[in-house]
Amino acid sequence: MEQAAKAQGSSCKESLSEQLMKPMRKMLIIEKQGKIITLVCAWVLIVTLFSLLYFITSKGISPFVNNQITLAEFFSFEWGPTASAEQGGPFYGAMAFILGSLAVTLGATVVSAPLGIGAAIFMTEIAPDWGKKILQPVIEMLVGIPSVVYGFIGLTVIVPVIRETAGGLGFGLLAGIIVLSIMILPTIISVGVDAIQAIPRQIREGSYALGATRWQTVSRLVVRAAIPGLMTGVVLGMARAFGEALAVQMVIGNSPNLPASFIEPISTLTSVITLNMGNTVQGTTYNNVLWSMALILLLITMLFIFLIRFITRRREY
Amino acid sequence: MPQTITVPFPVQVKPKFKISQPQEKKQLRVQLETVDLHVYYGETHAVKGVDLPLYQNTVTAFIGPSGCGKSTFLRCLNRMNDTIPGARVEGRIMVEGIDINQPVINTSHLRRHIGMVFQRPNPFSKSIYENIAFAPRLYGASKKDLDRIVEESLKKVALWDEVKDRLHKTALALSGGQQQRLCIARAIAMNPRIILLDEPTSALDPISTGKVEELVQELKKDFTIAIVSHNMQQAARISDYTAYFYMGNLVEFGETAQLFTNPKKKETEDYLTGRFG
Repeated sequence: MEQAAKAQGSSCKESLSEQLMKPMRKMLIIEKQGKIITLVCAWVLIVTLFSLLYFITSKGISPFVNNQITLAEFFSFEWGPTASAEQGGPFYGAMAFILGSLAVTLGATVVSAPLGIGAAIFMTEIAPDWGKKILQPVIEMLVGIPSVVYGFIGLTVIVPVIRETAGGLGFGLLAGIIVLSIMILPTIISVGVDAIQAIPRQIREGSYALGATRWQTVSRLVVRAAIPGLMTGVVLGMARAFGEALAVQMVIGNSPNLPASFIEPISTLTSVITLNMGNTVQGTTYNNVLWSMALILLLITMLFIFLIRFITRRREY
Repeated sequence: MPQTITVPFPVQVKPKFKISQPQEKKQLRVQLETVDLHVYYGETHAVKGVDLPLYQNTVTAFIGPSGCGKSTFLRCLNRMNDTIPGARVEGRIMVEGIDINQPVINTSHLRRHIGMVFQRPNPFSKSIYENIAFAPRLYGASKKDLDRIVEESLKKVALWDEVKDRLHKTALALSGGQQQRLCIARAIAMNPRIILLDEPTSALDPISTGKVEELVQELKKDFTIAIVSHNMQQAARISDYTAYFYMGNLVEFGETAQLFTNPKKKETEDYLTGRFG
């Protein structure tokens, strides 16, 4: 008994009942400390996010609340913030940019979703060994390249090629789509790889045991079961493409045209905001309209996020 | 279905197993036979020269301690070991005069004739109907055929009455036992010659286990069955022949009644009486 107490150190000289009845104050303080530290972290994040949301929303709705422009004007196609009163201006219609953003996002998705999903299937099912050895580092490198470099490559390589082959200035929807599709490819591939790997091995074995070939197993079972995960990757890629500003702005041409042709210069919400934010005066209608565009960006991005939530909730595996 | 009777064991054997009686000898025809079969996983020699026949329309049970090579051996019989990187199978597996352990063998077609059911129920995340229609559809069955195959297969595993109203609902909502019977139905939908069962009841509760065991007795009328079992009582109850594996060797093979009541080898007897190891 004594020996045991000695072995446990001086703090254990009390009897069991004394030990058990000792107030927990010291322990409680440590518990509290941990709780408070993490709580502060969480609250900093929450406050920042909500103030950001509040700021963008209040700024974004101000031109409408203050009767500077109407919603109908904002969602019209005419853009001429510097047009004089004799010309009937200024015009603040942002519809062309909204459509431009959507067009470039959709185009990039159409190009990179099949490519990305195909690469993900190849890496997990067809050649897991060397596919991973080669493609994994390539994907990580693609993620690491800053967007300004993508834009620069687009500007010096893709734009001249388009100019020579398709005509026009080279700046425009097509250049934007090409640059963006390369940028969102890693997202689609890596999320897709995770989704496919999450499909249990037993499912594949069950399929092989029924006489299905590898490709039949992949196409009819594995990929179908992984669809929610694959779609999550695609939507995440779309959200990234929709919000990308710098690289797009460098190759898109920045003319307030409707995205009616692949090779004509157009604008997107992000490119208009980055180009004009510094040149407008705070509080003016022009400046406020840019905030409204930021609000539209935010809302559509939120839509993407809700979409992901919806897709992943119905996952069965 | 053969009569089952309780056989008193020799003095060393405490439990009274219900042991199925052998079928009449004259019906027996060898459905599959392995000749000097070896399996290597990389450096490991997992199965060491096994010669074993499977007789037509009988149940053969493979018993033995964990890691004795019984599952590995079973997986050779429909070439499932091909899907494991580093696995090497040597020797002959004769089915109706053909050695199926050759590179030229079309494993997809082979597995249609030698079906397999796994330890854990693994239904696909599709409807009950689609789970069974999956394999026949790969081989071009028509819609009419599919309906018939689904109904027949489900009836054979006694699942039809339980699920006929929800054929097009997801199979994942079924209980574990129902899922396992669905997996058996899925295997017999291709009308195979042989069905390999790899510990099919180890993830099931006793009632579901009983149903699967009953089902095995029914199925042997139409198919040749090989079953790996951890449970000696189960092997004794449902099999006509039993093979005892230890350390990759086939220690003893014989009629279940004979092997359980009067084993020829000392090792078999030690294992059966629990004096093992």
